Amino acid sequence: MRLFVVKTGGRTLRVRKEDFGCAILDRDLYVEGNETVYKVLELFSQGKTLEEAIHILAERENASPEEVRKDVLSLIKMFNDFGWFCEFTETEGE
Amino acid sequence: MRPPNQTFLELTRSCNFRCQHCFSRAGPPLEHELSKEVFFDIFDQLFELGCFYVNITGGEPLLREDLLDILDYSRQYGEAQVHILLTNGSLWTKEFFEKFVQIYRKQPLQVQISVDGYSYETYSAARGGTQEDFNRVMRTIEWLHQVEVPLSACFTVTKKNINHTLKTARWALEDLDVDIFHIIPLFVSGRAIKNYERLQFSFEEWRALVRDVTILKRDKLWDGIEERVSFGFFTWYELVHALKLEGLEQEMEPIWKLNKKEFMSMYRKVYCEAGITDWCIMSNGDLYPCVPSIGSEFLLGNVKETSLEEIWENSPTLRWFREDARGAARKEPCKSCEHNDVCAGGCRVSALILAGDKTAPDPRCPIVKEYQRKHEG
Repeated sequence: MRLFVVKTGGRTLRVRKEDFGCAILDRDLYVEGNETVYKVLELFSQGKTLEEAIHILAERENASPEEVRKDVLSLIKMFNDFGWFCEFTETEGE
Repeated sequence: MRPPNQTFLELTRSCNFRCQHCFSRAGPPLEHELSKEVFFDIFDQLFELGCFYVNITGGEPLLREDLLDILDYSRQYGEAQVHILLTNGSLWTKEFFEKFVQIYRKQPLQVQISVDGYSYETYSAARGGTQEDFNRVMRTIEWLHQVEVPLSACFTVTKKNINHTLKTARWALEDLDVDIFHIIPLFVSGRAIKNYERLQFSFEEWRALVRDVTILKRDKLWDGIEERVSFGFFTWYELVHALKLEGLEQEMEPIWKLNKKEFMSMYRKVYCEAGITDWCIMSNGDLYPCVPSIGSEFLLGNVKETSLEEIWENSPTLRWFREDARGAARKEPCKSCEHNDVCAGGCRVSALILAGDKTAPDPRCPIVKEYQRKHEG
């Protein structure tokens, strides 16, 4: 399935798989992300928590969870600039 | 290759109005309009392709007796995609509305109603119709509000109504309480070709409107509701050159959210959307690269014979739009124009219809007009 939905903070992100990663539509905002962005959003769309997503990605990539955590948190920070997944950042800060 | 972001899906060419500015010359239905089963398959294909927006349009879609069946089927994709029903609003009955609400409750969709004036007199000057038609449009809007359907109004600017664009916008936002008021310029296609001389506004009139809406939004002159005014542009120069002439170039990004560098790196190589982000499927299955090209020589194929994916990826006409349509940008005055890289010579349909040459610089552009006046008499 090429299109799926991720919900965050009352918003519906529509995500489309692309050769380079993904395209994301948030109301009238259109942005593009790389393969890692796609993988993270796909896991969120399946209801995975941040920690679960990090764990799954580390396993899949055969990488250390700490490295993956660093990458994913840096992505989440970028997402926050669009107002997405602030719930994760708030949880992290608590 | 990126798939289409937006599809205009015409369910029927049939319409109860004969608007002078109609992009598609709607009126009688086309011969061999598609069955609902074929439309079901089109919705399946558009979802598989990954198209974000589907504009369900006509003619007037309510003239299809099986419209509710088609909407009902489409709801399965209505969360992952944005579906917008484009209607003139004059044919909604209580019975239709109640059935519509049942379908809407399964998965919401948006509705856009054409509103080309703030009173029966101004409205009917563009659309015709009776006072009763106008009253029914108002009643439809009231009904849709009752169930909180996301509702937008669409206003097509012509020479006849350009002076009351903002009055209509304010009325629609305040009195009709629509969520968005879309302003789009007249385009030289469909019935508008025949009426073009009478309906086409001057660039001076247009740039004054661009200026007024930009200042309205920048200075928040309507206590916030002006944020809900949107502008549609077919070409880059329509917005950017108008802003420059008005000394408002700096508002391109904060007000109109257009960052040239970002736009080109991510969205489209040139501003033209034809076959790059958008396309249209007609009620007989024919496909065209964009709304203005409907009925032109830019026919892409027919959905009854070829899959949407095959047409999108392999149509020679779409390849021309994507790769070769910049021919106009290599001709003067476009070649030396500061907007060349994004504008790429403007609209190919306009060039074809008005200049008889799909590779000509867009004859509507004020820079092209000035060049032709100087060099070609």
